[in-house]
Amino acid sequence: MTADVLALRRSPLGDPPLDVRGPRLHLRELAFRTLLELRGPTGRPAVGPDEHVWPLGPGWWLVDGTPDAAPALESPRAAAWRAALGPGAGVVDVSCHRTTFALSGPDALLVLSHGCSIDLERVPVGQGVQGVLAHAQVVLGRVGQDDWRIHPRASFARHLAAWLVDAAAESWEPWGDQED
Amino acid sequence: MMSLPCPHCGPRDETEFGYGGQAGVAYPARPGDLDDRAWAEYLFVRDNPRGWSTERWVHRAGCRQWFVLRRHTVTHEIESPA
Repeated sequence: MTADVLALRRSPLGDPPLDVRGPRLHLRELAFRTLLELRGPTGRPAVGPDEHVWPLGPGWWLVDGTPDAAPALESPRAAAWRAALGPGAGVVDVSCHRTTFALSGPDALLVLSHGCSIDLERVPVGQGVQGVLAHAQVVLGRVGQDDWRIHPRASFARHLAAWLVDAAAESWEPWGDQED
Repeated sequence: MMSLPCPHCGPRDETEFGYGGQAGVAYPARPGDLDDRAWAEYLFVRDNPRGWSTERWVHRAGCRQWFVLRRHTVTHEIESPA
């Protein structure tokens, strides 16, 4: 039964999985990540080695963790966070609200800056920003110098994937764009 | 395109923000005592300056916080409120 439910799930980009690789860029969807929004902690919450935490605003955080093994209305990690943060804090499972793209490679920053007016060069590794990328509201997190996580809203995922593939046209080809 | 300084996120494009109108319009202390004209003035009448204007904005696509800034309605110069 459990396996059946997991098999029925469809990520916002559905089948086949988004995974585009060029010599200078790799774009893929990390489907079904466990996303939790925390409200309350003023300091950066500590997370495990497989998790990332991005600041969304004052006292407002997005925790990006590995997919849950079993289907549930709410990720069990939400309850764990609620217990850890104590009363007064809010924890909401938003796994279905956004999906996760991983964009990595030497051209990642260049491609993002085609559609994002935020100065991403100044975002340090481990930090994130909330803003607009190609007219879609996203959370951008920098997990490495050339490694980004993009969390678009689920209904904007298809648009953003199409836009990224198009904006990175020169990065997919070994010798750049040689049309004309 | 204006660039507005969000106090939490730094400078961002105007399109990430929502406009909240004139800042500092206080709710009347005794609204029951107002006549219709005074109540309508409170609800609907706002300054329309040619020059510096104090306004509320919300960073809709970012931290979703409201803040106040001063904007020059002719030159679009921005400064934080005094």
